[in-house]
Amino acid sequence: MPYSDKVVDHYSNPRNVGSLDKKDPSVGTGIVGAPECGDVMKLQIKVDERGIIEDAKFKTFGCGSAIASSSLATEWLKGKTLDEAQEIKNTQIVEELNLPPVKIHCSVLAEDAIKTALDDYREKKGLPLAERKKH
Amino acid sequence: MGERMGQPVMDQKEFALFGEDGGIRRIPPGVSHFGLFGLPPKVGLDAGELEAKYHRLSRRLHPDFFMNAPVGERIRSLEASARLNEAYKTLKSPVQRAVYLVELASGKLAENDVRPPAALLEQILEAQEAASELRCGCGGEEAEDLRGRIGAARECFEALRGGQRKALEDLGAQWDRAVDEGRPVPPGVVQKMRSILSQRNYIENILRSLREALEAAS
Repeated sequence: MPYSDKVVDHYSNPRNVGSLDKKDPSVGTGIVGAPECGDVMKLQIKVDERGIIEDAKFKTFGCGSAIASSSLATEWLKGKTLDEAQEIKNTQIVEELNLPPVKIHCSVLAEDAIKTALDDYREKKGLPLAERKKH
Repeated sequence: MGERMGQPVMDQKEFALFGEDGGIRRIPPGVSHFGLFGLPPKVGLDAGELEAKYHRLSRRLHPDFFMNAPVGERIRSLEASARLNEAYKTLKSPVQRAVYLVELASGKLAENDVRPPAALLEQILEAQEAASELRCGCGGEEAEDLRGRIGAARECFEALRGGQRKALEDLGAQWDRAVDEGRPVPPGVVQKMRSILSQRNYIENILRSLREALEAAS
């Protein structure tokens, strides 16, 4: 199955690869995995004092679609408020990257990573956690 | 998935694929791969028996017998063949069989309710980073140091995998004992197997990647 141009672009030129200090109180970290394929994704956000995501980084061990999904996610996260970030849906990632049905779980993993990072940040700050919906 | 735990995994009666008139019966959704072959829902399985039963049933479903059959019967024969092949493939592989049993007892692994420890995933990402650095030669670290780090990580993941295989064997034996004695499989056994099986692909993937990186760099 050929990858879409956008997947290839994010895969060969991933944005925001790297790590933030996970002990930093302004950093939220989400490390998630997909047991069926063994992909692992770490996504981190750094939130400024206005509650806006000023930086986002990721590291992904997995297929091209998983790397592209997390790369895209970090691009989308920057500049968003926590509530806006909470609204990012895996279906938007599927649409943007043109993911085939067998790769939809990669976008689910990216959404899961975003939500886990947001939860981690909120927990650090003593903020109420957003409700999680099941896929 | 909670309410499914601790109940008998499934009925053990063999599903009669052929009715008394010799026609193919539609396979209801509740029939498991084990039920299809009339095998007990156990982690350990007699591979010869599975194969014999598979061959017997697939011979009877051979398309040659259905060339002149009404269209409904022809479709049913194709559906039954596809299901039979899938069931055989799943049950033949010890790992796929264990995953299948655990999923029957407690839902799909992909539901992701048992999160692997974050420390394990982090360790995997770190090892993977060393592997990619060794491959591209673009990190600041000396190749020799990288190789040492990757080798150490590999040993560590291999030890983990060894321990998990041993644990799976023990759990499988407990599972089978419960089935033999007509008891429900203890929920703790299901849960532990579930947790190990859902970590399996992460560990296999990283070990493959580390091995490939070391081979490419040697």
